[in-house]
Order: sequence, then C-alpha cells, then structure tokens
Amino acid sequence: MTREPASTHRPVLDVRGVSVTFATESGSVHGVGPVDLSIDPGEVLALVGESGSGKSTVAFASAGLLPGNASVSGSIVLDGTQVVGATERELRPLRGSTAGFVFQEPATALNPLMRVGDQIAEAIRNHADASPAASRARAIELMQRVGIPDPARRSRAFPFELSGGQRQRVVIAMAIANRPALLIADEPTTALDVTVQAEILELIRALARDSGAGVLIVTHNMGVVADVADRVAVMHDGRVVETGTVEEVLLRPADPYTRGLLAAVPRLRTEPGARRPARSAASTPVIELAGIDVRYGRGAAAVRALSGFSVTVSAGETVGLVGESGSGKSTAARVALGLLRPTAGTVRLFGTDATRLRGRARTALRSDIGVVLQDPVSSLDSRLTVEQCIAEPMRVHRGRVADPRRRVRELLDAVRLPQTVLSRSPLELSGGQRQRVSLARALSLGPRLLVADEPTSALDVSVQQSVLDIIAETQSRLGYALLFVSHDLAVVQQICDRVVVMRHGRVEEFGTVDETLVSPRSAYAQALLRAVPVPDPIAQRERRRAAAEQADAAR
Amino acid sequence: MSTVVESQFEPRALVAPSPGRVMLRRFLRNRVAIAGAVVIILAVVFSFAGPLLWHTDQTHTDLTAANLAPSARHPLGTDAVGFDELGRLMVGGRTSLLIGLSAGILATVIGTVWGSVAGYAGGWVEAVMMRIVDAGIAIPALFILLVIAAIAQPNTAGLVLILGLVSWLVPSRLMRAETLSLKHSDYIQTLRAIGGSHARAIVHHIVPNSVSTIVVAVTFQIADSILLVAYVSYLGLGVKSPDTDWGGMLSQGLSQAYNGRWWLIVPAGLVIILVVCAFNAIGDGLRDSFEVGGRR
Repeated sequence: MTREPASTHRPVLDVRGVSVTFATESGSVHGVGPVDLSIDPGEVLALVGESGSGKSTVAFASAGLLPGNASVSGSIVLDGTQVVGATERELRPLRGSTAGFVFQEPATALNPLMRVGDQIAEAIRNHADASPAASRARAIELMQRVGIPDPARRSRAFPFELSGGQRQRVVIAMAIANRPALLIADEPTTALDVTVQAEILELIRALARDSGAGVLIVTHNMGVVADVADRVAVMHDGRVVETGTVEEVLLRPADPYTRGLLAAVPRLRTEPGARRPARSAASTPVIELAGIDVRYGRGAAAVRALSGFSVTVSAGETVGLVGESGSGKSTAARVALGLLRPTAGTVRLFGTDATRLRGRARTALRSDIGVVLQDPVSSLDSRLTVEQCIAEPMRVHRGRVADPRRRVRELLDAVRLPQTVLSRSPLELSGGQRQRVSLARALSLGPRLLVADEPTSALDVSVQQSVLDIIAETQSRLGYALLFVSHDLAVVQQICDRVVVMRHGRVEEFGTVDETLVSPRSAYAQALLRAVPVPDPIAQRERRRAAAEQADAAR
Repeated sequence: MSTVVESQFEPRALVAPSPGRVMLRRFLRNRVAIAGAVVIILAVVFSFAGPLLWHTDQTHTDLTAANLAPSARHPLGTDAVGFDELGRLMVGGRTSLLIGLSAGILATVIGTVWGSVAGYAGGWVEAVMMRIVDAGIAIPALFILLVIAAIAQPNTAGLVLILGLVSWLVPSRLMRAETLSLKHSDYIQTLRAIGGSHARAIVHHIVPNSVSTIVVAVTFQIADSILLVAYVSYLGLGVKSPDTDWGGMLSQGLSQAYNGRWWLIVPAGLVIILVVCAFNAIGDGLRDSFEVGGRR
C-alpha cells in the first residue's frame, strides 16, 4: 500500500516552511511552525494533534483564512497559486472554488432560513456563471452524489428538517460544488454520532477516490485517521513531529510524542475478558431508578425523553450509560441527580424515596452525592479560587468535615494536583486540571454515589487517561457507586462493570461489559460497536469490510 | 506511565495575567473613560472640599449683593437673593452627587435582587415579576415623580428613596437576562445536585458572576439619577431652600434668563452635562473592558 511518488502531477497543496504568529494585546505570540506538508491529487492527508497543537491554524492558513492579527511567512502553494502574501482579491476565487471547506458543526455552517438546495446553488453561482435553473439542477445532482436520498424533494428542505448527518452531507455538497482541487475538512465528524461518522468518512474517501481532489482532514481522533487517511502528519506544539503513511505512523510510530499519544488512545476490546471481576450482586443498591418516564410537552406534541427506564447501581460498582445523542443518557443522569423530576417512576437514593423529599431532608440526602459534568469551562465558577471551588460542598453541608482546609489539601493530592493551584482561578488551569478540580470537589464529602456525565469527552486523550485513572483509584479506595455516562465505548469498556445501552429513551440492552459491548445480542448495540473506528488502519479496513458485508446481508 | 504522559502533555498551566489586571489595563487605555473618571473626581473634590477653600455664606440672604455680575469677589456672580454663585455650585453639587450616587446604587440593588430572583425562579413567578417591570416601564418615571412630589415635599433621604424606586426597572431586566444564561451552567447544576440551596446559588454564584453587568448598570443609573434630580428640582419640587442642587439652581436661574444674567444658568447647566456625560463615559469604558475579560 505504499504510494508511488507522484512525479507526473504536482501536489494540490504544497506547504513549505510556514510559520504563523499572532499579534495579541500582550505582544506577538508564535502560533505555528515551521511546517512542511504536501498533498497529492486524490490523496487524503490527516493532520492530527491535541488541542492547541496548531492543526486548525495550518488548515486555515492553507486558504488564507486566518484572522487579521495573524501573520504568515513561508510558502503555501494551493493548486499552483501562492497563498502567502496574496491579496484578498486574489484569494477570493480560490476559496470555495479551488479549495472547499467542511467545518465541525453542520448546524452553524448552513443558513437556517434558506432551503438547502438554494444554498448549494448559491455556492455554485458564486464562482461559475450558471443560470438559476442550471445551478439548481446541479445542486440536486450534487445532493445525489453525497448520498442524500430523494434529492429533488430534499433540496426544498430547510436545514432544521434534516438530521445532523444529512446536514453535514449538504455542507460537503457545497464544498465540492465547484470541483475543488482540495477539500479542507476541520473535525468534520466530531459533532456526529459514530454510526453517522462512519458514513461521512466513507463519503469523503469516495470523493477523494473518484474526483481526484486532495483532502486535508483535521482531527484529534486516531480511529478517524485509521479509517480515512492515506498519509498522516502529527502536530505537537505548532510543529509537525512526524509524517508518513497511515500504516507507518499508526503502527510503527518513530517519534516519542506520537508513541505516547497512541498509547493513550483507549482501544476497543473485541475479545471477552472483563478487566475486573464482577461484584457480588448481593450488595445493597445505592441508587435505583425504576420505570422512569420523562416527557416534555403535552398531548400529541409531547417528546418522550425517557420511557420505562430502570437502572440500579450498587456500592463499589460502576455502571455505564451509553448511547448516541438523543438516546436519553444525560436525561437519565439528571433524573438520578434530582435535577429533573420524572413524569412517572421512582428514584430511590440510599434506600429512601428521593422524589418526594423537600427542604432539609433533601439537602441531607444529597450530601452523599458527587457530581462531575462534561464541560470543564462551565463546571467551575471562575470567580472563585480553586480552594473555594473544592470546599463548596463542605460549606453547603457545614460540619460534615472537621477541618475543611486540611481536607482540601488531601483532595488535591488524591487528584494529583500541586498545592500551588489552591489560590489560582480555574481560568488559569488547563481542561484536564479543571476536571480534576471538579473531581476533588465531588469527592470532598466522601460520596457514596458519583455521577459522571461525559467527564472526559472534552479532554485530549492523554489527559483523559489520567482522569480515568484517578477515578478508578479513588473508587477502589472509597468504594463509591459510579454512574458513568459516555458515548465513548472504548472508555466505558475500560472502566465499567455493567452497561446500559440506550436508544430513543429506552433501554436497548443491559448486562456486563462483555455481554453488552463485546458480544451484544441487540442489532443496535452490534451496529454501534461496528461503527467505532479503531486506531489501526489494517484492522479498521477489515472491520469496514465486515460491516459492509453485514449491511449487504441485512439487505 | 500516566505521570510521564502528563509532564509531556500538560506542561502549560497558562500563566496568563489575571482577568482583573487585563480589565484594568483595558480601561486605562480608554481615554474617554479616563477623562470621565477625572471629571467625576474633580466634581467630587470641588463640591466637598471646595467650601473649605472658598468660604461663602450659603444660609443668610444678602439682598444688597443680589444679581451681581461676575467679579473678583464673586467669580460667578450672585443670584437673586445674594448667594455667591460659585459657593452655591459647590453646595448644589453635594446634593446632586449624593442623591445621584445613592439613588443610582439603590436602583441597581433593587433591580439586581428582583431580576436575579425572577430569572432564577422561572415559571409563573418570573412571568408575574417581569410583567410588573413591564408595567412600570410603561409609565414614564417623570410622571410618577411629579405626582409624588406634588403630594409631599421630600427631604434628601426621601428623594433618594423615590428616585431609587422609580428607576430599578431597567437594571432588573438586565439582571434577569444575565441570570437566565448563568442558571443552567454546570456549576449551578452541580450545586443543586449536591443539595445546595437556591439562595446560595443566587448569592454566591449568580450575583458575583454578574458583577460586570451590575457595575456598568450602576454607572448609567447614577447618570440617570443625577438627571432625574435635576428634572425634579427644575420643576420646583426638589430639596428645600436654602439647600439646593444643580437642577434647582438652573430652575431659579432660568427666570432671570431674559435679563442677560447668564451666570445663573450656564455654569449649573454645564456641570450637569459634564457629570452625566462623565458617568456615561465610565460606563462605556467599563463595559468594553469587561467584554474583553469575558471573552478570554
């Protein structure tokens, strides 16, 4: 699978010695560089790295799309045109015509008030002298091409009438409308569910193969890289630390940074063999949700967020809630936390019916709960110091802890943060450090139940692993029950004892990790597992083939 | 393993300057806002420290010295009952600034409490509270002031109370909007889940995090209140003589306008305009510097 050096055609993108600096209020900041990259026609290059590595900056610089305070040096040749130093007037024909763009969030990339067919037609007419009728016909053709069923009818739809995956297909149709030489996709599947992600990646692969356009795909997900890329460039701290074919980089990484990064990626286990022995089911349940219904609205327009949902978590046990967006997993966590009153069903916390409690009894009952939520930015009040953040539960439940100051310091040790952060503002900490502060706060009263809603999904993989380690370690020491909500099946496999697979607010499958996430019975859980890309290009090719066969067999 | 990874991946706990310092630097760079602050400081020094240097009798009328044009003895002339106009400006400034400041702060405090409780409570409580605000805004403040002033001749404290009670509506709306965006933040949700009270959520989290909105609202409210004092006094319903304020001076001077006695109108009018503009400039400057602080 080694690619012959393309001597007959020039690369569609040739980046040589590019550096980017940003002018800010406190002086100029070196952003990126020097970076060298090149993409041949029909080739998919994945630019990978963690947040802040400069991968998006490079992608934006390739089409001269950086903000005004950025200055670029070096040479960027896009299909024969020099981008560095080009005027706005020279760049305009390049954007959308020579280079097409796909961004992360399909919901904001489209104009909500315009029919999608018209938006694609507009993208055509921006660069080509086409009649309205001809461009509309071409728009329908493009929608067909990107795999939207019944394109003639769908072209009359508004963005809100389409699913997230279909919206991203429309964005891709706009990006390829003028047959670009280069398609730049910045985290094109990060906002999508795994099953949809697999389809979009398939589409991008097919477009590169059939149209001969080069593709620059920016991503943090090694599974996506393995699934879609021909070549990979790994970025760290603004520099490319390693470039090579996808097999070389993912299977035989040469650079120590790349090796560390790959080692931190949680791998999906396909063989049974639970990491830890299943706990005795005899221990008392810490939380029981039984027959929970949550409905929004009334009558025919009511939306059922949860119907007949039940789960039990016992002391020392970790139960995972998994499912795609809209499956109701976060709603279930909010019910468990008492933030949302269920329409029907009972919540028993520590053996007491929690749905009826008010006032002081409610407060006392809730003192045994710890919470870690997804967003490291909004989880902590940035007006407080780290010490105040961690001590807050001890202020709410005064008298529970004899010496709060000492306790805060012990907690910092437990989450492996230095004492020096105590007087800092959360704003000064990194995402991983903030999540550890959240965890320290959650542990401050020695909880019997910890509810964690996607605690690591906003973090880079390397940081994610350290947070998961801390959770596992404190749980084995303190013996709390853990309700762990996540969309990442590899992470759930790693830390959970039992798993609830959810879909459309219902329990699709329930059992041990091996039962649900290695050899599931339900077709949905099977499809979910198949869609997860693994960070091994050879294995991923095999999985893709198997998945295609499954789909054919089902047809 | 994990320690190696950490040192490799997470070395940069950004040593950014604290948000407070960034804001201060931003504010200091805003020349208009600085000019506003200087004007306010000068006005306060003039009104409160001025009488220590420029001794005048502001309690006994002196009809022999009435309506004198500006001279060395009376740099801004005298009024119809013989008070020195420069000294009068100092006495009037004390009242205007004191009432304006107090009423502006009072209005913002009421508005903050009302708006945060309404926004946090949600549902029908919010609906009722905010309809009351809407109704209040529909009635012009000046009209309410005139009615009240016609019923009773208020003293300084009374005037502060009345002005505060008619002008808290706008800050309450700002505060409600702020609360709506804050109450769904993860740290409030976390607080609720572990049993923290509503009061704690509002007092410890929502109000401190709205401080930018509140501070900006205060400066605009003070400017508005100084103007309102001037209106009320201009209509002859302000503080009682021999006390006075800038609006009252303007009102009395205006009856002399056609006699060519400009010194009774121009200085008082100018200081009102200057001080109100200055507070507005500070408000604008603060808003800009807070915005930068929030965007980081």
